[in-house]
Amino acid sequence: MTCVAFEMLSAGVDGVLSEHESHGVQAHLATCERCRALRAELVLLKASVRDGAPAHPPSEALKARLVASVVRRRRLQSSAIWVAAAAAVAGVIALGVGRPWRANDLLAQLVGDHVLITLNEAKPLEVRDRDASAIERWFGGKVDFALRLPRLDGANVVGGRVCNFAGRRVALTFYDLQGKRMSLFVTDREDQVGEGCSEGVRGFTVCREPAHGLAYALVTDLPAAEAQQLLRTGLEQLH
Amino acid sequence: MRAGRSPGCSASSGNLEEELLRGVLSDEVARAVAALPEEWRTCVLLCDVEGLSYQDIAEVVGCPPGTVRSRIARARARLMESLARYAAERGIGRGGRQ
Repeated sequence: MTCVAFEMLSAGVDGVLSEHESHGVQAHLATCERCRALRAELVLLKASVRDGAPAHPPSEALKARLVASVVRRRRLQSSAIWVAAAAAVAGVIALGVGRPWRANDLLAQLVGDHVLITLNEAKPLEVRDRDASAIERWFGGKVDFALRLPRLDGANVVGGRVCNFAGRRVALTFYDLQGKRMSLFVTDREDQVGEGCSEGVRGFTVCREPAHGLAYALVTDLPAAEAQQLLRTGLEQLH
Repeated sequence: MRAGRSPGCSASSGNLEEELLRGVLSDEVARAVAALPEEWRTCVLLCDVEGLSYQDIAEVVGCPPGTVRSRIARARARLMESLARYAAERGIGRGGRQ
């Protein structure tokens, strides 16, 4: 019996194997105790590395590269919008303009903004306050709607900033959940944000919920069910 | 944050021995990660901590996804060796990868 290559087991733990590779690995694991034990250790190691992470913040150089990568993606997306807008002005077909964004683009941008601002101290919060009412007042006049922030169980609001999203000014607020940063986007355009919860969007979970005439999108690394419960409960308690 | 990690985020099996071992070894894990070659460490942290896909990591570090896969596997093999050595020295482990 030939055991699975270590690299294959490692990639399997990250869920990146092709369907064919995955079938092969699963078939082997069913018959090989040694590889099953090795895989279990890899799963444990992955969790341990993740838990040990605060001792290893990304280096400045890495942060810069990560931010540049997100910025590059956003520029590409912006270019596509401008090309479509120019086409509309010229009387050609208005490709996508005025329609809701495709879900994948929207989720990618929400996560992109979350990563960009969480990692980039050069683009700090515009308002820092642990009082949700104070933050709601700060956004008055800066966005075209009255911001209402939910209380998210176990998390503290820490601040926010105005963010341009699909041509609209939206409120981007931040919550701290036991040391982990979550982003909550709020806009009055329910049609652009939609509803639903997606896990594994570039490693994050994005939950979108409409409430009280506004649309909320929470970006977090919590599992989808937990994130959805957190956001829904918070929004239900808003009066 | 170790203490604040939600149970749903953890890949732990719930096995008591593993939980204990994990607590004992957590500082050593941090040290072992710090001792990795930078290119390996970057890939494994972007994967395990930031949750980026191999494709996204490849874009960030500027190498093919296949290289990312290889670096992550090498990093993990090195970490398992380091941790197995540490555990064996203290009589708290059952050895690592052979």
